[in-house]
Amino acid sequence: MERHDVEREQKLARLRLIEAALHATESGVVVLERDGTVAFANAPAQELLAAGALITPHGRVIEKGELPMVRALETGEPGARVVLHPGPEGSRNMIVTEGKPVQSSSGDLIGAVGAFLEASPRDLAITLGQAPIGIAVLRGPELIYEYVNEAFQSFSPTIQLVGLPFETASWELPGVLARLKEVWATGEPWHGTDVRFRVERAPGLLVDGYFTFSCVKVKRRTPPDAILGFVLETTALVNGLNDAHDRTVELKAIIDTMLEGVVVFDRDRRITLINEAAHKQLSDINVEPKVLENVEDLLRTLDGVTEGTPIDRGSLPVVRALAGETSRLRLRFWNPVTSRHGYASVGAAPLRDPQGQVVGAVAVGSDITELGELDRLKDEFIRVVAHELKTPITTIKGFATALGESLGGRLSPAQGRMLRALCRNADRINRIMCELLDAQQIELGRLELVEEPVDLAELLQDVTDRIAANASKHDIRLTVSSPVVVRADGERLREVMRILLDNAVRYSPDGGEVNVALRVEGDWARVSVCDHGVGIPEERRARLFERFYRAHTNTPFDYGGTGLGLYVARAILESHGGSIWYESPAGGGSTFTFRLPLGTRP
Amino acid sequence: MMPTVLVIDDDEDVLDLVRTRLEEEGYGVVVAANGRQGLEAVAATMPDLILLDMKMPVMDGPSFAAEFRRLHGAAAPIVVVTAAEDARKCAQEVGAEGWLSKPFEFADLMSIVADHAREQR
Repeated sequence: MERHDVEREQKLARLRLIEAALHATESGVVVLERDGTVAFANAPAQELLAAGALITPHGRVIEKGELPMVRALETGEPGARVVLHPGPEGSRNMIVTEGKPVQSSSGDLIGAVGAFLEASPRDLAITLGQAPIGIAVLRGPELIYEYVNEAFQSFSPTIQLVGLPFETASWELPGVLARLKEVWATGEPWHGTDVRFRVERAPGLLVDGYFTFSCVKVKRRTPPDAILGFVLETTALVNGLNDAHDRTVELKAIIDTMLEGVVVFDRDRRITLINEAAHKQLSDINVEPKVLENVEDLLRTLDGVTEGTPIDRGSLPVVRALAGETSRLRLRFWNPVTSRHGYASVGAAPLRDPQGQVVGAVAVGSDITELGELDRLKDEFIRVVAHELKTPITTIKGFATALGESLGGRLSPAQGRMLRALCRNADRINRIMCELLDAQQIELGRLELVEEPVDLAELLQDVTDRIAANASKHDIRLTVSSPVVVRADGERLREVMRILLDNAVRYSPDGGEVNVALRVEGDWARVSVCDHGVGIPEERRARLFERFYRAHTNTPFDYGGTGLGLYVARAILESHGGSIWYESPAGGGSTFTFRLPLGTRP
Repeated sequence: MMPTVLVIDDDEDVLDLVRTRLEEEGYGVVVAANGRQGLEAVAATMPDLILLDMKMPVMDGPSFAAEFRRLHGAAAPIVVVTAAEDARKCAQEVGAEGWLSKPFEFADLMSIVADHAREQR
């Protein structure tokens, strides 16, 4: 046998002995190769490495990369010790793990070794020291601080506690010493939740703090016995709750001083808050707010003041808010106390949690009876004024016309113009009144149509003739491609045509042609009024059909008007199932076109 | 002989205007300042047509129409002449044969008078 073969045999035998020894030890041993693969692990190490997760005694999960042997492999330096929670069976003591790099004789890193050892009392102390809960050991019977961990020491940063008697080296704790002595004497534990203590946070700075704690007497193998204390500071939590409470009180005060009534509902539709204004509003209509418990109670109350017509549940803002929608509604109600009608404006919005789920609703209501009354007076005023003006207009126009006709040829051209101007302006006042009344009807949703067969060609002929009689500078031409009869309100259609022709003439100050055309297009009768006037400024087009909107306000082409014409025209056409639009090319001139359905409509 | 028209209106100027124009066209015209006077006029002579204002003191248009129908049935057609918002509706409500909105064109006045007065003959 060669000499080196003998040496090899001897080395292998020695390795087997070492391996057997490693397997026999209770500590875990692991050997890692350079690439991190496990070259060797004895039974205790295998058991630990096979565990699902390694966690610290404080519950933190340790990643494999944090283990000291893995760190050693990466850095080439010994890895920091890590204390681990005992294994899943819970029978073992805490474990501390270490790791060191292994170098070849030439100094190259070739692997790492690690060990899992039963933690020493010192390791346990380190772990306790870092625990997030305050721990103190008071040696009896004098109750002297024997041990405090970092968390406990941090409660009184101004004094080193260890070695000092409890009563001299402590916070301002009335009655606490007596209680501790009782714990010592009786062996009964003492627990406290959110107890307020004065704590010296900095030299001379005594601040209230809240603590939750347990004190128990423990027997030791070697006397004297001690009191073990576990203390958790809950100041932030308690202050947070107190702040929340203060905020609630403050908000309630704000909400109570609001003029609008506020009612808040939770997700189960129960009423959680009624502010003072809402209290008053409800009391004013003879409702006792205290009897209202949920949305249904409130709705029943409202039914009681709407003169027998139950409110449409689906349209009520509070119902819609609980379904996630924000809305506002004006309600007319009967006030049994004043025996008069009132108006309320009610709005509601959903309340959502941070995830966006609806957790309730807030409803805001105000009594707008006075506003409603003013609105009604305004409507009444317009109606009376319009009505009262019509009779004088009738006579002014009538007599001017009569005068013109009876004088006939004896009038000078200037006198003739004057009389025509009288008639024209009487018509104008009348038209303004009609538009005001119509706009009001439209606003109130009371535009009523009296439908009958209407010969559109005949109607257009009549209206253009009448306008032409007053617009001497303009050449109004009517083109009818085919006779059309529609079912419509003839009077209203006349008004639409008067409005369109009046605009065409008004905004073509120098005269010129105005072309009116009627044709059939599919199922629609289509009428267009085309002028060669000033056109419509691009930026004002979007709002042209709005109430009181005038495209030429503050322009050189402001020839007056109420701004109601197109608003009224569109509403009339839409209530017939028709529509209106226009084109106004940059070069000037406008064409307004409307269409009406030929067939019967639903 | 031309038809007779009874004009009931509380506005003197309107009465004057309508009377002048109708007389120019050859109609016989009787005027009344309110419904009460109107009833007295028809009791004296039944006209061929009644032009009736709605809003008047003493007795208004609707009351006149109701009373007239009760006493005289369809003895003469009624045409409502009103400044109210919806003359058509007024006419329907009082059971009148025709309607004319104030302010009106003479041509319209003449044609409606001619239509209803002719029907009567």
